[in-house]
This record gives sequence, C-alpha cells and structure tokens, in this order.
Amino acid sequence: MREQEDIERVPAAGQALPTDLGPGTGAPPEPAATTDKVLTTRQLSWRRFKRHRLAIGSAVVLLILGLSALLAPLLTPYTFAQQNLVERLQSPSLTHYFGTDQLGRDLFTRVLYGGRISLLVGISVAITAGVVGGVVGALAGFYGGWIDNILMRVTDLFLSIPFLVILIIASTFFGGSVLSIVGILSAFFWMPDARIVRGVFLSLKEKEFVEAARATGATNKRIMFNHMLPNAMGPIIVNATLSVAAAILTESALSFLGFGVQPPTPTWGNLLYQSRNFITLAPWLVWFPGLAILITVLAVNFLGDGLRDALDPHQKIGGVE
Amino acid sequence: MPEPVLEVKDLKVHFPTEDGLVKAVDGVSLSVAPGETLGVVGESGSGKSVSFLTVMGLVTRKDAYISGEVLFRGQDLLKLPPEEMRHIRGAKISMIFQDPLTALNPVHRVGNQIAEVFQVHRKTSKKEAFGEAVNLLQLVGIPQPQARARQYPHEFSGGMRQRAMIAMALALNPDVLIADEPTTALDVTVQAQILELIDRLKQEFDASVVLITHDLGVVAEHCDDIMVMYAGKPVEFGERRDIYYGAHHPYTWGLMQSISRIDQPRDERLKPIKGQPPSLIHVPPGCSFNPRCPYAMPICRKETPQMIPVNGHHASACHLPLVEKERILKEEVLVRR
Repeated sequence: MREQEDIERVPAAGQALPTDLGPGTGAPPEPAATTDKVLTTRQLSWRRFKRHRLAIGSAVVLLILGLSALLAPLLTPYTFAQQNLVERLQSPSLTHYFGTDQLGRDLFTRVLYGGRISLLVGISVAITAGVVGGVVGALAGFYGGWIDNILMRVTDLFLSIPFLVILIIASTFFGGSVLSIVGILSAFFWMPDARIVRGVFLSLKEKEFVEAARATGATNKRIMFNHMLPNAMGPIIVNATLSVAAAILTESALSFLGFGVQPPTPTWGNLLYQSRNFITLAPWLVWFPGLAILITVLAVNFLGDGLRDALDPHQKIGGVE
Repeated sequence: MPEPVLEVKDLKVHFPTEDGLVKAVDGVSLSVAPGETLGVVGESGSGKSVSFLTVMGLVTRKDAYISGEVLFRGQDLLKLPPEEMRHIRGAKISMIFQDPLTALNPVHRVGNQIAEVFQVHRKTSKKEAFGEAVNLLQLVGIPQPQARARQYPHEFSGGMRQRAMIAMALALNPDVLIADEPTTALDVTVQAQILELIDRLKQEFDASVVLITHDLGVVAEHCDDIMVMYAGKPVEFGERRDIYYGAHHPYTWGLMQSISRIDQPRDERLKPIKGQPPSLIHVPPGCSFNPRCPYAMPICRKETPQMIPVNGHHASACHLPLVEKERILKEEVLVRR
C-alpha cells in the first residue's frame, strides 16, 4: 500500500498543489476501490429489469411454459400420437386436463409437445434472424458506401415481398420439417434486425472509442465484433425477443393454413388447424392451443418491453452513477 | 541534428462537401526528432487534429483528398498499404485522445482493453497480455492495478482513465506518441499530473511526443519545439523560447495575450483575438489571418506569406518587416507579461 501510494505521487511531485490520486469526478478515495462496490453495467440493467413487474412475471410464465414443454414426458402419461377412439372428443376432465380430440388423443399432451415445436421454432428463428440481420447490419453500418447501399436495397427487397405467399410456396417446396420451417421463417425475419443494427453501428462508428481502437491498430473485424457489437447488444436482444413472438405467430398462421410443420407432429398452429371442424362440438380444442399462443406471445412481448427498459443505457437509476 | 523520427512534408488534407472544398490542412510541414516533444497549438478548426489523424491513417473518408508526405523513419506512411499501416498504428506510432471516457469502450474491462494491444500486434496469450496490462497500469501510477484492471471505465476517475489510455498507447514502446488535447477534458489539478506523467514516460520509453493543444499555457513547460497553426497552415515554428519570448507572428501574440496570468493586475482584462476563425471553405485570400490581424497591410490581402526562417529553426509566415516585428514584440507584447 505504502509503495503504491508513492507511485501515485511520483507524477504529482513538484506540483504546487497537494492534490494527488487523480480523482477527477468524485470517485471514491483509492483505498476504498475494492471495498466500495461500483455496479457493473450488467448489474445496473438487472436492477432496472427487476422494477418491471410485468416483465418478471412474464419471464416466470415463459420459464414454466418452456420447462413444461421440455419435461412433457414427465408431466403426462400419454404420448402425443396415442389414439383412443373410445375416448374421442371428451371435454376437459381430471384424466384429460384439456380434453381429447377427434381421434381420442390427449390434448394436454399435444399442447405440451406442440409447445416444444412452437417455442423451438420461435427461438431458433429469432436467433438465426438475429445473427443474419446482425451481420448484414454490422457490415452495412460499418463500411457504408456501396456495401451499405447494396445490403440495404436487398433488405428493402425482402421487406417488400408479400412474404406469406412466398412462405407458402417455399414450404410446399422444402417440405414441412421443423428445420425447413425455421429456415424459411428466418429468411423473412432478419430485415428488422439488419436495420436496427445498421442504425446502431452508424452512430457507434462516430464514437471516440472506435477511433481509439483503430488507433491501436485493431483490425476491422475486431473493431466490428469486439468493440461495436457488444455495444449494440441491447437493441439486438430486445428485437430478438420480440421476433420470438412474431415467429411463433407466423408459424401458427402457416400451420393453420396447413403449410407449417406437418401432422402428426403437433404445433400450436396445426392443433388449431385440426380443431376448426369441431369448433361447435368441442370448443376446448380451439381454446387451449389458442390460449397457449396468446399467453406466450403476450409474455414474450412484455419481457421484450422490460428488457428494452433495462438495457437502454439512457436510463440511469438515480444516485448510482 | 539527428535524423527525425517523423517528418511531414507539405501535407494537405481537403474534404469535398456540398458547400465547397474544406481545406482542413493546407500545407503542413514539420519534423520530430527522437526524444523530442513538439507542441502543436491552434484554435479549434486550425487543422491540428486532422493533420495528425492523417499521420495515423485515421482519416477514413474515402473522398478525402490527401497529398504530401508523412515520413516515419524515412518511410512514406501515406503510400503504405492499409494492412502494413495497421501494424504501425498503436505499435510504432500511437495516439491518445481528448476525452478518455469516450475513448475507452464502456463494455470492456480496462485491463482487457489494454491487453488487446498485445493481442493485436503480438501473438500474446490472453492471460499474459492481461498481466502486462496490470504492469502498465502500475507504471502509469494507478494504485492497486490488479483490482483496477478488472474494473470498467465508468469506475475510473477522469485522470485515471487518461492514465489508462496512456498505458495503452505506450504498451508496445512506440517511437512516437501523439497526444491530442490529452488534458482538455480533465480537472486543472489533474492536467498537470497527466502532463508530468507523459514527460516522465517519454524519457523512460525513449519516445517522441507530439502534444496537440489549444492552450499555449499547457505546452509551455513540456515542449521543446512549438508549432502554431492557423486555418490549416503553420504560421510560426520555433523552439519554446523563440515562441514565448520572441514570437514573430501576430496570431501567436494574440494567443499569448489571451492567456490569463495570476500576477495580472485585477482591473486588466484579457485581450481576446477579435473575430472568428475563418471558414475553411472560404479562406480569406492572402494571409488567412489578415481579417483579424491588427497589423494587416495591403499586401496581406493579396499574397500568402511563406514561412521565413529568422534564426535557427525559428520561422514565421508574416509580411511584417522584421524590424517592425521586433518593435511590436518589445513595445506591445512582452510589456504585458
């Protein structure tokens, strides 16, 4: 300690003013540095997030939904394709919580397994689209000029395609496996990400720390992905969350039209699709998958809102910084 | 005189804009000897930052028109392919910036940011580089460097951030350190410490320093040579003593008279330079300082003065006759100091 103080004083030696230690803006005195904890950006974000009740609640709901989809075999004695024609079209009861469909399959089981697909599709599409859009936006924003021009015009092009039509054509072409649905949906979900990331990069490019990184001889790749991208994570995460909801809805719509993941694999969308003929006879067949979609999408959107507030660096909790 | 480390010859940097050509730098020549500190002084927009950003190869606008030579150990940096230039940046010539808060990346730990320099230029492992970073933090006078290296920039005070920037700039023992207004964003008490630190490390690392500033007072103690710039051109160049006690350019006089002094009589007001710096698109014809110059003559509006050596390497670009300059210097400028 003694020695360290001396080092600190060396540059100050010969100064008329006895102020050493170099605190410019009211930082804690040096010895307190390790004991007096200053919050990291991450901790600050967590603090802001915790104040968002609805988002916390949504996160819990999503966690439950996700876990129950994941642990489906433990929660139900049936399998999703197991038919029992004797017990067809039963209303909800203790043996079949959500009732049964026209083939006597347990709807609770099918909603759980359907959740697997719907959530998987939603999350994979959000991630794939986020990565593709992120890279496109990063390149466009970083390099500008003709690269930006080409990439953004391609983005515009994709945005101006009536995508449901293309989706339907593509899904008949590539078939209705989960993988192809994720691929097809991702191809039409990356554009908002690209635009957002490009915008953030355009403003980050003017930041002094980017110039400073360049001044240390960092490569463009390093500047883009090591310096700029982490600073753009906030908006990217928020948008990815929101596109989970959008992807689930689109997958449902696609399945409802009969072009999504094909039966017997259940998804919330094709559960709705198959129940359309029994809507007066067995309304629970519509209710439960519908509710699952509604709750998930709502929760994801609330979560997105909460994250937006938490990750927005312009908001500061009073007295912390 | 020893071979200069850095030599700039007739550097011009022009940017085309919708309103016309901005002549940000218009004919700058200078040289920096090994171990020397060169002060570059001028108002905002005088082209001092742009000159050295160009030296660093950091002017990224593709439509910028750059001409002249930037010789680093005899090698013209302006002709170097980008990839080779990248190896020089940060390793041979490094730079620190005005505002150390914005120059540090808010999402990375300070230690990692310093360590990055090693990872960029040498194939140092992450762990080793971090250890080096801790040593450097200690060297620039940051107490508890081990703990500090793990902190984020916002946990550092202004002075410490600038120390961290200096550590980063000196990491690879560069030949030239360019400090672009390194103390402008800092408290007055910290300013002196940072300049002392740069001085001390300059000697330890045997580097040359270019100190860019708008404040003649700042460079007073720390520079060997001083170059005064106005509207993209150097107007006076000389050793520190030449500039402080024998300045020959009306603009330099103006700068000196606008420094506040502690022993100044209380009723005496500061004498600012009248008028505004010229737009770099419509630079006045002749001497660009003529509209603001109290001694302007008809010739000043017609002919651009050249840098004329007075003695040694003291030179100034002004049409006033030498006798007249000496008279004004003695009777009007130095009297006030």
